[in-house]
Amino acid sequence: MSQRRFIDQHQDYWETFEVYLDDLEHGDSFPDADNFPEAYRRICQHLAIARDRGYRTSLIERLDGLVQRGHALMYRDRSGRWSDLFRFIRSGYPRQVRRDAGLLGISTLLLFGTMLATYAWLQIEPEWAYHVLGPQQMSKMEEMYASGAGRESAARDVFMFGFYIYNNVGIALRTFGAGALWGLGTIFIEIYNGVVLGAAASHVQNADMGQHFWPFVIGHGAFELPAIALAGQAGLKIGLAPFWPGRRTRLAAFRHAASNSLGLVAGFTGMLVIAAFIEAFWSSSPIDPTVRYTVGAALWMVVLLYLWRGGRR
Amino acid sequence: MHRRQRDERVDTAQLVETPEGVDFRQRPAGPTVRFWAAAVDIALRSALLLGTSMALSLFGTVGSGLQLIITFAAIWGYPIAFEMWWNGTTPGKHWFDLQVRHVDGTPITWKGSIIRNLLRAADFLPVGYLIGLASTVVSPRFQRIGDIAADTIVCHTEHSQDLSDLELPDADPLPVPVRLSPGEQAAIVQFALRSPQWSGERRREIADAAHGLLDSNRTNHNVASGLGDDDKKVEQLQRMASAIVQGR
Repeated sequence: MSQRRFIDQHQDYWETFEVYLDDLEHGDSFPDADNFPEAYRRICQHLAIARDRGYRTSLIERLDGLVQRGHALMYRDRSGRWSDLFRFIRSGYPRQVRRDAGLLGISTLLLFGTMLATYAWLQIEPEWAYHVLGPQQMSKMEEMYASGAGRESAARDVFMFGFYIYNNVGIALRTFGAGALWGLGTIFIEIYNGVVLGAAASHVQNADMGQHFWPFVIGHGAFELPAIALAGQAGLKIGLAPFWPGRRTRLAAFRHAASNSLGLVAGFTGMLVIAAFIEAFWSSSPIDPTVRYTVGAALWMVVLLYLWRGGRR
Repeated sequence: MHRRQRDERVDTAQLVETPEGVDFRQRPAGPTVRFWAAAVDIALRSALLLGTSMALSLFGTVGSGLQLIITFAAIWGYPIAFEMWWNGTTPGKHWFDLQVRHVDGTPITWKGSIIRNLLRAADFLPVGYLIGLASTVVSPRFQRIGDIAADTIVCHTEHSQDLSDLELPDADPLPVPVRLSPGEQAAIVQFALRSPQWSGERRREIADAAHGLLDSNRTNHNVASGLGDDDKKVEQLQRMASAIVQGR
C-alpha cells in the first residue's frame, strides 16, 4: 500500500484517537473509553507498519507521538487513599522503622553518642565551649536561658513556629537527602548536630541556667531528637544500600532503598512538625517546671513506645 | 544481569520498549539546557518569595513566621507540586520544552517526584550542584543522583510535525547509479526534505558525508568525477531523492 493511501485510510482514525488522548489527559472520560486499549493497540500497529515500510519520517514521528501519549495513559500510576494514610500512621510507619532497626541504632549512636560525649567533655573542661560554640553562640544561649520562660506574644510564637519548620525540617530533609552519597552527608550532619547540641546544653548547664533550659527542651525534644535520628536512619538506608545489595545490582538496590524510604521521610517530617508546634506554642509558656518535666517525660514515653510497640499484634 | 546490545547510535535518543511490541524514542536532555531551565525556575521562585515577603511584611512578626513557612514550602514543594500537577514540567522546564518522566516513558509519580527532589540535597553538594553535574555528565541518560534514585529522566518533548509541512524541493530526477538499501534511500529522501531548513554550510557538510557512501566499490560508474563542487553534491542528492520518491 502506498504511503498516500495509508494516510488517507487512517487519517480520520488518528484524529479521533488524538481527541481521545486530549480528553483522557484532561481527566475527562468519554463514552467509548472501554475501547481505548484496543484503539491504542491499533495505533501501535500502524506505527509498526509505518516503520517497517519506511514511510516518511514526519508520519512516523506523528504516530510515535500518539503512541507515547497512549503509553503514558495506559500505564500510569494510580495510588493514594486516605485510609491508607491512617493505617500508615497507626502501624505502617513504626513497622517500617523497626525493619531497619540496625540503621536506627547506628544513627542514634551518631547523634546521641556525640551529644553525650560532647556534653560530658564540656562538663569536665568548660572552657572548650569557646572552641566548639564560639563566643557569639555562647552569649546567645545565655541570653535565651538567663531567665525563666516568659511568653512574649502570640505573634512571636507563630514566628518561631515558622522558623522551626523552615530550619528543623530543612535540616532533617538534608540529612536524609545527603545520605545518597554513601551515607557520608548523613554521618557528617549528625555528628555536627550532636556536637553543637551537646555543647550548647553543657554550656548552659555550666552557666547555672539548667533550671530554665531543661524544662524548655524536654517537651519538644521528645519529638525532635528522635526525628533527627530517624532522618539519619533514612539517609543511611539509601546511602548504604549499594554496599549490601543482596540479590540486586547495586544500582537497583539503591533505587529500591530510595523508593522504600519515603515512608520514613513522611514519618520524621511529621514528627518535626509536631515538635515545631510544641516548641513554638508550649515550650516557652510560663507553666510550673514540675508540670513541664512530667509532660515532657510523658511525651518521651509516648514516642518511644510508639516506635517500639506500634503496629504489633 | 543481561546487558542490552549496544545500539550503533550517534545521538542520545533512548529506546523504550512497550508491551505492545512497538518501540518509541525519547531524548534525554543534557546538563546545559537543564541548567537554564533551573535558572528560570530559581528566578521565578525568588520573585514569588520576594512578593510574598513584601506582602507579609505588613503583618509584622506573624507575617515573618508565615513567610518562613512559605519559603520552606517553596524550596521543597515548588518542583514537586509543578511536576505532579502540571504534567511533569515546571515553568522553567516548560520554557525549554522539557518534561520529567520515568525511564520507561510513564508519567511522573508522587514517589518519583518526591525522591528526585529530596535528593537534591545530595546533588547540591559540595556546592552549586557539582555532584549533580558530575552525575549528569557521566550517566548515559543524563541523570543526576536524584534521577537515578527515582528512575526518572528529563526529556525533550517531541513535537509531532504536520504531515504536509515538509516538501521535497523541486528537482529533476537523477537516477541513482547504485543499488541502495531502503534505509539508505530513506536517508537521502530525509536529506532532501530537511535541507531547505539548514544553512548552506550545513548542507554541504552533510552532503559531503553522503558521497563516501556513493563512492563505495559497489558502483561501476565513477560517480565522484561529475561532482566537483560541494553545492553540486547537494543538488545531486536532492535530485536523487526526487528519483527515489517518484520511483515508488
